[in-house]
Amino acid sequence: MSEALVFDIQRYSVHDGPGIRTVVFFKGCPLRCRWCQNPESMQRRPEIGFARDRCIGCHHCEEACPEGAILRGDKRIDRARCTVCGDCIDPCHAEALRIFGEKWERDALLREVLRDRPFYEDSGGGVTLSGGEPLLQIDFVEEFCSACRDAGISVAVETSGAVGFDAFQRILPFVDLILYDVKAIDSSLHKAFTGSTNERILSNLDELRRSEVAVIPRVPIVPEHTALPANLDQIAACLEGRFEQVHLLPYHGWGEAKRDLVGSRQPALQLDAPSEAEMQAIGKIFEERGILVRVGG
Amino acid sequence: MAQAAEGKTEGRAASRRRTKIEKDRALPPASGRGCTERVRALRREVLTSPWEVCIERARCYTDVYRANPHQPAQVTRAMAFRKTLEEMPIRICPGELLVGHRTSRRVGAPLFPEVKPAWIEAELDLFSSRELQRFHVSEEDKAALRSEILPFWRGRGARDRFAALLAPESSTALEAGVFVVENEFLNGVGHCSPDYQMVVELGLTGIADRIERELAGLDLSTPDGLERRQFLRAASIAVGGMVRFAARYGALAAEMAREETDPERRGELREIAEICRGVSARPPRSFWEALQLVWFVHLGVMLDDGGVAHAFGRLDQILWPLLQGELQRGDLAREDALELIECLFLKASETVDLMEGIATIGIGGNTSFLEVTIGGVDRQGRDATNDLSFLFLDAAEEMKTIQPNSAARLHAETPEAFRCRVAEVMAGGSVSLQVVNDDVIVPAYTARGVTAEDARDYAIIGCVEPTPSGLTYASTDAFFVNTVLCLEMVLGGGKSLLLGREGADTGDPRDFRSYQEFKDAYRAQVAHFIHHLAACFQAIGAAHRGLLPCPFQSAVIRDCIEVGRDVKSGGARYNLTGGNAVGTAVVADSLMAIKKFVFDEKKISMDEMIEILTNDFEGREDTRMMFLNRAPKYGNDEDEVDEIARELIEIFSGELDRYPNPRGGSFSTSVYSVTTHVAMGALTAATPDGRKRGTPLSVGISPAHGRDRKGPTLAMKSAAKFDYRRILNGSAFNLKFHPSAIRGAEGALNFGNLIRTYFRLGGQQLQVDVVGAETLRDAQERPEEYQDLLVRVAGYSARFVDLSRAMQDEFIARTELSEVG
Repeated sequence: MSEALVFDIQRYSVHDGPGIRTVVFFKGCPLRCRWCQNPESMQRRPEIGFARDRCIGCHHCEEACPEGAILRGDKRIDRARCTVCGDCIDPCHAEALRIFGEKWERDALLREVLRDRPFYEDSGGGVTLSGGEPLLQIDFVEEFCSACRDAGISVAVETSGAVGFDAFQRILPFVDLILYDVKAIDSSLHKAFTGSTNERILSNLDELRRSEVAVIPRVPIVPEHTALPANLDQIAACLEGRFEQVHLLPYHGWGEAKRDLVGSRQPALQLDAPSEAEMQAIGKIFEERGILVRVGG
Repeated sequence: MAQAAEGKTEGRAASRRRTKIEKDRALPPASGRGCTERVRALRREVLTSPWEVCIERARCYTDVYRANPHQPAQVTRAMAFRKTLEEMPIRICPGELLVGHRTSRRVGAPLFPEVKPAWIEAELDLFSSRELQRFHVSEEDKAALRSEILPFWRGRGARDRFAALLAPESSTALEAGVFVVENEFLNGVGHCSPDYQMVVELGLTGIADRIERELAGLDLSTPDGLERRQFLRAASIAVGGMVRFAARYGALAAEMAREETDPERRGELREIAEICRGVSARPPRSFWEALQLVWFVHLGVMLDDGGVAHAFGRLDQILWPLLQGELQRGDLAREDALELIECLFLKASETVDLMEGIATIGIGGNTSFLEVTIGGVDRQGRDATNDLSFLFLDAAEEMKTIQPNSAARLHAETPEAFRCRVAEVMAGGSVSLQVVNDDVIVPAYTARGVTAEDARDYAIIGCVEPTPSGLTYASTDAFFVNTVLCLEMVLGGGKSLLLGREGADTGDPRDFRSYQEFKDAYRAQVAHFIHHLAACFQAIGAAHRGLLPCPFQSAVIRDCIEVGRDVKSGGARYNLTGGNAVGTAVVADSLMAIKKFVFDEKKISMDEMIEILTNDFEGREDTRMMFLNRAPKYGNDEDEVDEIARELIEIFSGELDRYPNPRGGSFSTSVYSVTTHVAMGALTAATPDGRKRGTPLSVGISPAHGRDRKGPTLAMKSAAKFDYRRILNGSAFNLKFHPSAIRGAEGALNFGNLIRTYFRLGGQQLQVDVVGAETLRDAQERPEEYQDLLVRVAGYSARFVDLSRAMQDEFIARTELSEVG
């Protein structure tokens, strides 16, 4: 049986599919979006994070580290030496050191998710697999989705689409909703934003349209990036007549503070969040093409 | 009726007729139209009026007591009550549709020197300058109090009688500060729910007739006959006073109508005159009349007995038949009914109580805790939500933050529309609205021997206390027990760690060999204090029975007239005395930590534990973090610690069940804390859950501050594990949300479903803190206590503490902006 690498589980999520949901965040992503709000989600291996404001200076981590990889100072972890053995985590009672990326077996994860089951029943909610890119861990995800289906739990998947279509084929029988990111239509623009071209992403989206499963495209609205008028026009044109609705997700800088946490070298964008008026104007671009718009998930 | 008809042509009714009734019936329950100009003006005036002390009641009571030393207490009090209602200067304010003030001031507090006179005299010069709940007292009134009124009461108060009755060992236990009983002397008991069903059906005269009938049938050759006669005479005098009070307002309104130049207002005043005279002489015939009568009786109840939390009960049930008829006939439009309800809310908001300085700290901002209950099942168990339930919600939404508080009863068959509307109003920031669960509360009462019909007819009193309405005397807020201090007594071997106060001798905890021994010692401390608590209540009950009978209140609580006995002597059908286990979550988390670190893992010795706590974790921050983060905490759906919490309630309620209350009933347990968790926390040492010395204890039945780290769903699963049959007197479960996380149609829908699931799992009560900028700022400073606070960032819900400082600042700025707007 395969294991998943999960970096967070969030409950009472009401913006990632219908009803009250539990979101499981899978670690590892094929894209490197410049605006990524979950820097701890990128690497497909466990990482140790250090939150300096929680540190009480007990130095138990130094005693516990077999590699001598603990530095005094703000960075704390000498990432060249650190083998991510995790020995420093338990002695850090203040939880300044945290491991991102815990291994979960299918049944254990299912049990964890099922703790919220009564809330799904009344609200029409369920579990949402997010990330990172959950479909990178397709062997686990397929088994997990199948187990959810057996348990009568509705599954939604948030995906970048940057995987082979066979991954989708493997989960389609068990999934009720796919929330599908569309960031740019022009491939070179896409590559500039995310580090990858988008041919496969767009063809997967096209292919998915033929399946029975509900698909809702989601567009992150990032000023100076995806929010460029030409890009939005192209996205709207691409969706027109093919999808009934779109979710527009306004950029926010919330995740950028987390970059230090895992020693990410990706620079923070530090942009202003789009205003409500700007979001409305952007919404019009889609509405004019007959697409239902929802701001936020 | 000629006058009434005339009034209608000129007054409010005329505008009402112009309203298309059919159109109104089609209105959706959510009005969202904003309140009328009249209500807005009244609201402004009520909110900006100064709080003043009125000495009229104290003067009348003193005069009557002085002149009638030979009469039994019941009769003296009834005569004093009647004199107060006959002589209190009255007024009708511009724009008022419901009339009647409790004092000679617009927003005034009467005095109850017969309860606990000492503090009034001692604090008289402080009322206008103290930190909380400032009241103005005129120099003239101060002089009258000092020379005429207060000297008479020195040493004669019910609190003085209680002190005289108390045995020394119980006095010592009381002084340990583990339990507090002063609410019984907070101007009176309050905390009751008059039988407005009976009041509206019979009217004042019908009640008077009933008293006369009982009097006529007495056999005065028996001791019982004599006892009953005193009570019935007193009740008759008191009801007579209320008849006069209503008639005086009728006469005043008629006189004002004659002088009024505005024809619209003249018509209203004539209608008011007719209504007041009407309800003084017969049962009410309209919704407006019924509301007016309810308000008059409420004023009477609040003058007869002080205290806070006189509840209105199930007004949506009681008044619906009258309103329904009027709506159907087109006699009253829906929006006019709403305006009248809002007028009642504003009358309720005029009610303030002057409290002893020390009590203002424990009670916080709201001073009178009036409560309306809406929705739920009827006496036969069928859903009884009606259009009036929705109107009360509209009023709660539009009036916000003012009295009365509202409790919406929900059950498995509650209409979806009602639950959604309730969720919407709560999410909108009406913090005065709470939800309670019929499916949990009704069976709890039937298990205690209350009939199914009476149990289904419960209403909320005070904060959260469910009580079979109209026929119970339940002093629901009688005591608070600091259960954390019981734990401290165990650690200190029978003495508290911080203050060295004395408890039961449970031996040196260093000698305990198992967790079971420790838990047994905790139970022994609880048993010790509850034993003395019960002894205190026998003395309190005797003082109240002897000195503070409530003839008017007893006339409007069912069964008292028939059995011929005052509520204070057990005249009501059901008799309870309710009180609080404060700090349940802190004790549960602490026992869990002791079990794990001292007994199971042996990481910390008992000796070390005691030393660490005595020194408030000085130099042991790492250990504190271990206590905080390395042991399960109540509120995360972890069975082991949740089971401890459940057991704590069994211990507490089990000990209470061993004693009868002084009125022939029983004690009942509640787990809300009002704000006592702050005052009690200040006197409590550091605890093994990682809590620092002097910081607040847990709030109600909620997890300790910020310890529920897995979101509302799992916190609810923990809270739903309690056996609520043992928490008969109610609990408060708080969830903190930033408005952004639950507002909007979809936010409210999900929130409504969250409530539904919680109640299906067995939760008893839920209220929401929709937090403002000030709280967010506090969360920045003390993130440890706000691990559970959810906000919505763009499309996502997030924990506030997880946001960057800059993002948090932006959030606060945005919240402030919306608060101004």
